[in-house]
Amino acid sequence: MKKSERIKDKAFPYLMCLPALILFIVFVLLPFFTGAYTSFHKWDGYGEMTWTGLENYRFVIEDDVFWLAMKNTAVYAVLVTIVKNVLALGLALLLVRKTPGTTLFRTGIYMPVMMSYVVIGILWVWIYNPTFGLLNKMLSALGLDSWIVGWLSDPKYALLSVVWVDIWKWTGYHMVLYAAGLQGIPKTLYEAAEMDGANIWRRFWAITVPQLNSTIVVNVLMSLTGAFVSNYDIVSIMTGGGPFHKTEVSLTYIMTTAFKYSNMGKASAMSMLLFVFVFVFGFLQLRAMTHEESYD
Amino acid sequence: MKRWISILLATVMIFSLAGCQTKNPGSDEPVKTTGEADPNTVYLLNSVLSTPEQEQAWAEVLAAFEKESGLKVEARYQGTWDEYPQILTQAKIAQEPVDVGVTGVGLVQSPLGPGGMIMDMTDLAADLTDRYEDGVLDSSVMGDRLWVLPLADGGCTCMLYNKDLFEELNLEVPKTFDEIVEIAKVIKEKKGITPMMIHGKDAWAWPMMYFDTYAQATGNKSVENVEEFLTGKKKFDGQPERDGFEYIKMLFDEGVMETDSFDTNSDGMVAAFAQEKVAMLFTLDAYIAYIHNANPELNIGVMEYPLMKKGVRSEHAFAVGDGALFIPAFIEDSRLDNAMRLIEFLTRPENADKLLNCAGPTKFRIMKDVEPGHSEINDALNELIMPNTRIYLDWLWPAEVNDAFCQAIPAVISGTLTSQEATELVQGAYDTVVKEQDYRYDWWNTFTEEQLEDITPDHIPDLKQFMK
Repeated sequence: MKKSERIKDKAFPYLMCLPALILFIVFVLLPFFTGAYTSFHKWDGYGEMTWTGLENYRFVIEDDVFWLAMKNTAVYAVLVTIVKNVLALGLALLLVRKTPGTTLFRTGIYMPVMMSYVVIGILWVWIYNPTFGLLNKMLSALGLDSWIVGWLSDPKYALLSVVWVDIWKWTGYHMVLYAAGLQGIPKTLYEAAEMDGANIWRRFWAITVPQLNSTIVVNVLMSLTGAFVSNYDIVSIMTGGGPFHKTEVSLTYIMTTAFKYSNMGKASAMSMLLFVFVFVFGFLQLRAMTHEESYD
Repeated sequence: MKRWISILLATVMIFSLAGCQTKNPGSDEPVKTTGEADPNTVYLLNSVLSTPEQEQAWAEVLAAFEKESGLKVEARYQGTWDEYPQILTQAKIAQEPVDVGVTGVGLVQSPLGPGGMIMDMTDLAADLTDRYEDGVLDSSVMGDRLWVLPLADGGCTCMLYNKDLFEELNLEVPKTFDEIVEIAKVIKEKKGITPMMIHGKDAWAWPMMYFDTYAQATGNKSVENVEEFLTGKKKFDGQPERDGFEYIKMLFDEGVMETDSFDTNSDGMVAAFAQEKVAMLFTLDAYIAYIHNANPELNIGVMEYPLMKKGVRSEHAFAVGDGALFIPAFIEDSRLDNAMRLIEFLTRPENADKLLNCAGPTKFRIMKDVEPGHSEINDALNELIMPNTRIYLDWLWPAEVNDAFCQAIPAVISGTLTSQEATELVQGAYDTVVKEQDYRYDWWNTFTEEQLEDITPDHIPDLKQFMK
């Protein structure tokens, strides 16, 4: 093979990657570094930028609302991740069996995944509405009037109410992933365990969970990072961060700071801190949950 | 061969991406840059119009302008009113020509004015101000400079009540706090419905109520007090500031309002009132039309906010200019004549009449020769509310302070905060914005020589030659 042909052969794969690389640079790396650059400036989004060094980071660290939002984000992410995955795995275990009506239930549970956050947010705001809402009407009809609360206005319940909507929307998605994972587990393993006298609980912990490890890792990682960085729409639509910042998450506060308060520098500093937080959290979680042998 | 096809496809994709550019909505023409701007075209940037009637009215008026002037108008309708600052900034950065803009007066105080985005219209529009009713331009003047010319109906805070229900129960319209408490008891006892509601799910609704209670708490000097607070001459920690919160809480404590206000947004409020599940509302006059559409049979009355203490009068917030004409500071001097010619045309009574009344008759008299619609409720708004109004306070204070009110008021009502803590929260928000963003209420005094040059027109077009 000639030298020029060898160079061509080597260059070709890189050339094929170029469009994706350009997209990645333009839409991911460039905004990221612009954000990092902005975080060291005072900028209202309209006038000139002024270099302020680490001042924006100091403002963020001194900002109680930001830390409250970070705490809410962490609570939101942990709750959503645990409940969604437990529910999804449970449903997958039920619906993976070939019984009549399985497809109907599977489709029904998956349907919220296809709806936008805007539609779901508005839908649940009406369900939670104290005057017209289905939830309070249902509780009242069941004689559970003492359970009636302001689901989105009571600081004690507001965050949980929003978290539930996220769980409701995404459980179907994770259920499908778990169902696919379950279908990949060889039946012979269960048959052998049954012959050894293992009960259903033992089979679940000794076969299902280890065999599903890679699926669990993917699901938990997706739930966790998703809950950290894509909860803006639902919170914004349902509560706007209220009451009294009780449902404020980092993304709503970043957006408010950037576009309502016109404080781009501080908002960028918040974004950088959130990035570091999610990166470290995701890395630790991945390290803790993965075992090399599972990916063989 | 496959390799070359792949390379070709990849190249096509890269060039397609590189060729991405903003297009004018509704047109195949890409948006021009300032350098390419046609000297015989006026470029108008407005927010997306909300009704087909508005679209038709603007199209007709702009077509009439084109016919009379021989100029072309390229109108862009983009985003919602609150996105306007970003859209205008994008246009400036992309060097897209904008000769005339339409924005909310509330956005002048922040961020358009302090950002040096709009031109001082004091001299530019000197010949046009006579077209407006006395006092209408007050909210468009800041630092003795006129920044925008309103071209929209006025809006006010007010209280609405179900007239038929009041008649059925033989109730008089309440004028004081004690009276409204008594009436609320009767309504609950006889009808079992919520006496009074606000759409508190929309956080921005709470400060509106504070505008009215603070007016009474300060002895009808709310604007003066807010200006002193925003210029750092006083702290937001006095008795009137606390009373503003307490007066709202009292309505909840005495059962006039209930917790359903926390979870009800504007749609829910309209539905509840239209279905006669609520007897009174604290709201904006803009919702009267929605209530009427939801239940045309409902007999709606307008009432003043009840007096919470003696020796004051009930005062409501009022302002004009959710759609107001302005000239961007980055306009080229050579384009100023045509831009002002369009503004002159749009504010002519016959054209303003079309634009103001296209979505139904206006409620308030904005321009001298544009007649508002007359109805029992409009007359009540003009006679009862209009004479006792002050500007919306959230048009004066920065967004951070407004947000503090949005959070603090429901927190005081629910007992999460005391009124003292609420005032501290507001003061804290102000201190933060001063520290972090060098906030100045009198932003017009902070312009550098260069900025002053940008916002000051190089010449004043003679509009008299076009005026009819």
